[in-house]
Amino acid sequence: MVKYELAKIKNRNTFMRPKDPSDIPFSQKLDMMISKIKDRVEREVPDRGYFRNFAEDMALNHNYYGKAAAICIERDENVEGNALLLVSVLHPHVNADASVMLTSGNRDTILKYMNNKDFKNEVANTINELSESLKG
Amino acid sequence: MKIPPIYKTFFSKPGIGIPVNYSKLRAGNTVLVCSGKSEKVLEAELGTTAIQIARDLLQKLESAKQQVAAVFSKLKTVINIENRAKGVPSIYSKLLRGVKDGEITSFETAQTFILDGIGSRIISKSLKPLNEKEIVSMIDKVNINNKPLTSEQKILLEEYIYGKKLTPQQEIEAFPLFEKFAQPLIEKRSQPVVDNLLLSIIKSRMIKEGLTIDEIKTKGLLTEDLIKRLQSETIEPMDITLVNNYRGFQGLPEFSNSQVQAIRKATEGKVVVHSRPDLADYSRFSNKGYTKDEIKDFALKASGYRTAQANIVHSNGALGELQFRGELTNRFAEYEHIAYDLKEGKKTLGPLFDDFKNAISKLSDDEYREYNLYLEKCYNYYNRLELGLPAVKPDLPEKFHKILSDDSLKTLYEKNKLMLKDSEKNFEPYFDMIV
Repeated sequence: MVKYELAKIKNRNTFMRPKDPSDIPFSQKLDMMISKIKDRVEREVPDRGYFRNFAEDMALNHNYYGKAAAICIERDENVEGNALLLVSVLHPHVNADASVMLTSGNRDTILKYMNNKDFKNEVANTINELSESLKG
Repeated sequence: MKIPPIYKTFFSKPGIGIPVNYSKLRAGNTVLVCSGKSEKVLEAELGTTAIQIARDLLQKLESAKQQVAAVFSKLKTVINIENRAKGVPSIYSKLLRGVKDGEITSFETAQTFILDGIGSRIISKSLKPLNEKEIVSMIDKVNINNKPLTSEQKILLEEYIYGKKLTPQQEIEAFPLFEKFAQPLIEKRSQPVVDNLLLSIIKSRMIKEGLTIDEIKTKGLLTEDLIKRLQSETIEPMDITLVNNYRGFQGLPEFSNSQVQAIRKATEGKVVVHSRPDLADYSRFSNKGYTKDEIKDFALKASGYRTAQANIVHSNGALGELQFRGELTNRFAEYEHIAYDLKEGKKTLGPLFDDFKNAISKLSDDEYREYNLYLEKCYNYYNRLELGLPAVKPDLPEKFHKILSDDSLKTLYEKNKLMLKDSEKNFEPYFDMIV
């Protein structure tokens, strides 16, 4: 059981303050983004029919040329009930992004792809490549 | 005894000279070392490399041209295909930038850096003008978020289509409706070129990766119709690496999102797509996107430039760029960029442009943003005509000098083109000694 020494903490600000995103390591931010998008795929992509496109994003630090990265789910406009899983990186100072498709298919295919143990590495490498591609 | 190299200036066009290491060029030496050289020597090395790359591109131009023609020339919707190899001055200035950015360290990296060595423009025919009845029928078929439009939305869309005066907020609300409305027109005009591009991509993958018809069917890489064509026609293979689908604010893209998705699927994710995130129908960067100030700054650079581009690797190994445009926007794009070039300090224009240059230099940042808005409207005007839609030619705001108008810019550009043609008539590229 955790015991709190109230005397020590009573004068401290106990409100939750969101951590500065730049303090959070890249790997942790990536985990958060992947977890959020997985939840949304489960909730928002139906077995059949229409759904709205959506994305989850994260800021990139100065190790990357890109300003931010996102994982996006786009409704496949050519095959009903299917989606495209994209990774996108935002240009730092031009109104543009670079994106690439990782896979496409129905909800189960997309979820299976995201549950693969190499998925996180693939997203990390793709973010790096897309970020570099924006330099040209 | 080591003989010092001879340096010369190479003039590939009248009055445009670049330094070269003449001895190295004559010896056919293509080794490029950038580090440890004085600025002057490095410039001459890059000038030499620029000539070598330009010569190589010229040699490859003919077969590249034939490849592009084999893919697109038989299409009835394509009215013209223009091809050109990048010239020496343009390669030279790109190499200077590449070295400065640390991207070029050898001859091979220099070659790879010139991504658009061979440029091809595929110009599509305009659609026939729509009548009022056809427009009404199209409005009735528009769905937003899988729902038909409300009567208010229909009125707003109709007013937008016919160019009625709307408030900026109404315009922002009307544009997504307009984009949905115009999607069948965008696809009608560009589908033939997209289909042939898809077939070429798949054909290349069949040759290089052993992709089979069964895999194409199982993975849903092509539609049934295209698979039939793949099996019955001779298809020219083509590799694409990057797609840019440029458009301005409230401008329509050359390729629809559904067409871009088809290209993504045909390459199975091997193609990178550059686009404007703010114009996607959902927010990709809702938390970490651009600030308002950043967006304002973009307007300084944005002229509504509109084209779909694909970076390709030709069968002969040359790197090239395909540009897909309509006939009217292509003509406008020829001269629209002049203002931006001047603002960026490029000195490539002759004395004919002095008054225009003067007028541009007097514009404040806010005025220049407003001028860009005018250029964007011109792009949108020509594009609407290409799609067979009603269009009202935008007026240059009264505060601007008349020389900045679309018509005046076009006249200047055409006069300048004639002058250049005249001055190049009897011109032969030559080397001059550096004094």
